[in-house]
Amino acid sequence: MPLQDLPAGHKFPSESLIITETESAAYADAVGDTSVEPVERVPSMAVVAAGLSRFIKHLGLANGTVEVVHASQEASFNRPVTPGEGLEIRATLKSNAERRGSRFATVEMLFIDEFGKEVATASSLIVVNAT
Amino acid sequence: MLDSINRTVTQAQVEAYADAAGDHNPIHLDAAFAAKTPFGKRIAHGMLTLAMVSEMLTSAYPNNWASGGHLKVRFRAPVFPGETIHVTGEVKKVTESDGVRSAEITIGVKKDDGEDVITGQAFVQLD
Repeated sequence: MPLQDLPAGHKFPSESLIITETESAAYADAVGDTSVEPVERVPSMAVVAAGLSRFIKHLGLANGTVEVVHASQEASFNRPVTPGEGLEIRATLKSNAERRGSRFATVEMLFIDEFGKEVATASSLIVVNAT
Repeated sequence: MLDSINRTVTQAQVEAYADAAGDHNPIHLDAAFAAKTPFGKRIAHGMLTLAMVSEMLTSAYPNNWASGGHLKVRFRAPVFPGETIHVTGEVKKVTESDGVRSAEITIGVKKDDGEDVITGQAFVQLD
């Protein structure tokens, strides 16, 4: 369903997320992050980035028909994520409104481990403009 | 002050990030598409820049950033490939509650000319 048709409070189908050692290392290499050993610990922001990318794709916003701008970001980390660990992403559309021809949408993501514990949470505000 | 990060963002880095993070939005990758946007050319992912903020915080607080860290930031301006950015963090205050000390850190990412790219705050437990 297109973003403009989704009401605030809409819950997206949960998705599984596994960041492998290879993916963790590729992320660290891409951003130049040497603060962690990525095959032992996933860089914290990689988890949020993976979730946000899925949300953008899920809404068909990555296909070039619209301009998507990331306006703000919140994130909380409860514990490190290990490469290969299985997580569940639970995403909710917290707000969705049009102002002056642009659509402002906030998505909240919860990253849940196999024991049902939140390992991270994130809230992203994106602005979508028709091209 | 936390140890700052100064880094030049390249288009190759943006493309590597797109693959690594799974974000292939054409505004980052397609020069023709980006030329039609208000930015006029390709821009780096905001999350790529934010990753450097997280890197700085991880370096400063190796365990406590990943376990109890929180940030809230705004993206103020795009970073164009070829630009150099400067990531900084300054502890503004330390508070104590129930015997646990926490630091509030002012986060900044600026370009060479001083333009703000990211502004915001981070919070990290110290104990």
